[in-house]
Amino acid sequence: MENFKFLLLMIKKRPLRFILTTLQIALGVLAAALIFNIHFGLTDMINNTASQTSEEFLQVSIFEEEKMEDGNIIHAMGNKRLSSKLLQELANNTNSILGISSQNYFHDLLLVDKNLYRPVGAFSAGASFNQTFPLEFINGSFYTEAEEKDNKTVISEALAKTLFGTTDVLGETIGVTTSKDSEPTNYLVTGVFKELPPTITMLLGPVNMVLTPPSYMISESFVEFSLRIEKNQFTEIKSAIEELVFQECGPEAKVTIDTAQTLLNQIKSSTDSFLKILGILAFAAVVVSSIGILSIMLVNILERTREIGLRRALGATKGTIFGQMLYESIMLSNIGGFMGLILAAIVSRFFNVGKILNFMYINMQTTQSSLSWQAALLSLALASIVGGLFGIYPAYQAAQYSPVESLRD
Amino acid sequence: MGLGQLISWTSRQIRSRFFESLLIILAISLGVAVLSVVGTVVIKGTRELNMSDPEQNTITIQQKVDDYRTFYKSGNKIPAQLVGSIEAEEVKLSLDFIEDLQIAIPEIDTILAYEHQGGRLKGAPPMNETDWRSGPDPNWLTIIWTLPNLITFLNGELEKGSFYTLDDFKNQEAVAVIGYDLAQDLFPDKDPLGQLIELEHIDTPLTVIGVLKKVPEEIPERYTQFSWFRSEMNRYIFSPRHNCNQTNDPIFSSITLVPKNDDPTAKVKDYLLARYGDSLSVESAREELQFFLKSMQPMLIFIGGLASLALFIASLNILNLMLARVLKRTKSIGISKAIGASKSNIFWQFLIESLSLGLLGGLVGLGLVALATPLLKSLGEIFAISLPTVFLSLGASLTVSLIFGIYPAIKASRINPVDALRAE
Repeated sequence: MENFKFLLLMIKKRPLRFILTTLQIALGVLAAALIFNIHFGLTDMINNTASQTSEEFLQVSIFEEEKMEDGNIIHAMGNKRLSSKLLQELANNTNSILGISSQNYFHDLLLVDKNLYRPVGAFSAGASFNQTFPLEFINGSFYTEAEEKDNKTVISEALAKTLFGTTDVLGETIGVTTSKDSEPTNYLVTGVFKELPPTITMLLGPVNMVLTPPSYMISESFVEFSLRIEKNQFTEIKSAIEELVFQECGPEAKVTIDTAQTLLNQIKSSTDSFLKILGILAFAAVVVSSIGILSIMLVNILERTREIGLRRALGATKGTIFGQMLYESIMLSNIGGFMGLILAAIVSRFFNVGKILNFMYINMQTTQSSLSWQAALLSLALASIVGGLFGIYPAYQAAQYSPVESLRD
Repeated sequence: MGLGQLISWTSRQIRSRFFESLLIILAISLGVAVLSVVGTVVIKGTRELNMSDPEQNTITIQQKVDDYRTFYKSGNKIPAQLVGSIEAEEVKLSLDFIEDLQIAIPEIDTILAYEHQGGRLKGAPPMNETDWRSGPDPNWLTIIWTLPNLITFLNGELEKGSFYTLDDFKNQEAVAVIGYDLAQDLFPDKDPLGQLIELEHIDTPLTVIGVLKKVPEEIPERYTQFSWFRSEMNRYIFSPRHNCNQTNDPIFSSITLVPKNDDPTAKVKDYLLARYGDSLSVESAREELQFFLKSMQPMLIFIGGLASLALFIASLNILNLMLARVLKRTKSIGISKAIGASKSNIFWQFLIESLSLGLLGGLVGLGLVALATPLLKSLGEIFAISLPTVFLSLGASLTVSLIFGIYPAIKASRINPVDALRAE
């Protein structure tokens, strides 16, 4: 309590110095809090995205490594394939595989919309698509295996609203073509589905339309296919697929298996180096503000030589003086720390993770728009540590003052 | 009081409070070091993106329906932009179209139109599977079907023979101007001029009428859409003859405009819209870059803010400590004033003191960066410090120490000698 009174006295005597010192700490804490916030925001975002479904989706592609003349290794796709029969067998023999399918993406598909073309990406796939990626239907249902030979399609809610203004579009037809030179083909809409979760759209990209494959696209063997599996069965199924590819396509064939989780990990590692740079900048700010508190505490004790001498003469021990000075420095840091948190809460409203990492085109929803409690707690702890650590030396100096000499000054 | 006196006074002050001054200098130097490294990256980065080169400012025109990027540009979001009417007659990107455009918009320097084509040499041994693995087909020749102005635009010079003319292009003459290396490979012992190049699936052989000088292999200053051309020109065939026998009125799938100095994108868009309706996509490289920069903006502001934060904190430190010094020296200032020092004398004493602290901090900061140079270089060439950054960081440290040194200096100069001497 006595220490607190001394602190108040000091603040009253030198209000500007108090403000400047705490502001220095506040800005250092602001920098640290923002970086912690980005780190926790990103981790949260990744965990949220990954935990949205109780199942995992896998995207498998088979390739060969080819060494180019310049020493670079490229992935050659197309030579090594797995037949649909083998895939079906794999699915039947493995209980944890819930669905298996293959789909093609038309990036240049044009829809005919009231005599105008509308470019949309669309998937061509058989009825098995719905077993691998279960769509949630607002209206109608997925086309059946028997309907695969007909021209049928299912479209997303957003596309239905864009094309027809309503989701009640069963029985409507959509004209589709890949080139303006050829006649559009009409596809019958059999269902309207809700937007897919990010665990799927991260793998496939946006899914707006799935249509029955044109005859020239129907294939009995695949280089790429997708699976839906039970959670935590990834390693088991991965080795099953790798073994199958090894047996069928020989040792030179390789497999990549992407899941939402592996893609998220890639995003995380690519943002990590960026976070490191930000971390260095924030660290510099914290170091500079600790130098600030160190130097101002030194000035403080120098100015109060007489006061300290008097207290020593009146019976205060070295320990009391040391404690008082350390208390002051820690309190200043913590007050600064709180100010910094308020600043950080304001700034993080404008710069959340999503915005800062905007340029990386991360296709994820971020829920975080304010300071996370972990970041707040960590930066407060940091402020206390800085105040404590850099207050030791001035406090020690103050404790060394001999009462006689101090009073003679 | 002269400058020499001021400096000796300042150095005495700094020495008398050595540790404190050292801390100030250290703080400033850290701030300067961070700011100068980040500043270097930003300056070098923007210079790299500097669009002064007209080659970087190209505008591409093509049919909207062909521009599949319209969907991606809408952020993969439905509804994507509607393009091109199914009933409307297609606007043909013909020679007439190009001529009209050139007349209508004088800001355009050159209009280029080209398509990549190619074919295998007739009679070359077929590729088997092992050949495919060992690399690209050595007997595949790339033909650039283009207006003659592309060759001059790429600074191609003739070794021998002649270029083809616009009339040759209009008539779709089966002639070719070929790169130096290709001429050496195809016709090692003969004069290439007048020789025929016969390719599979192409009915008419091309007659060589010109051979280009060898283009030296060098790393371009900046990468543009033409860098690739320049690096590959030694092996290209330039020809006015289209693979698919476009005998009358050749049509291009896309054309590229190179502007003079001003950016004519808006004008081109207006002109095309008024004349041909909304069926052509006009893509400006500058707009693409601006779009990209806009997505980077929040991050750049954030990094810039963080980088300047350290220096700002350090300058608060200067302000704080200079104020403490003024307080500490109240008595001595009072005495100086009593024996005749003017307000401005005192003002300058204190301002010079903070300025020299700032300058020293800046120099030490640069020293820190110089020490860290090997480390920074290993991160990337863009991190290596350059002359503009030296000025930037010294300027920044002087500016902040000036701004934050003025208030203490004024405070010191206003000290009343009578009060000061009376005070404890």
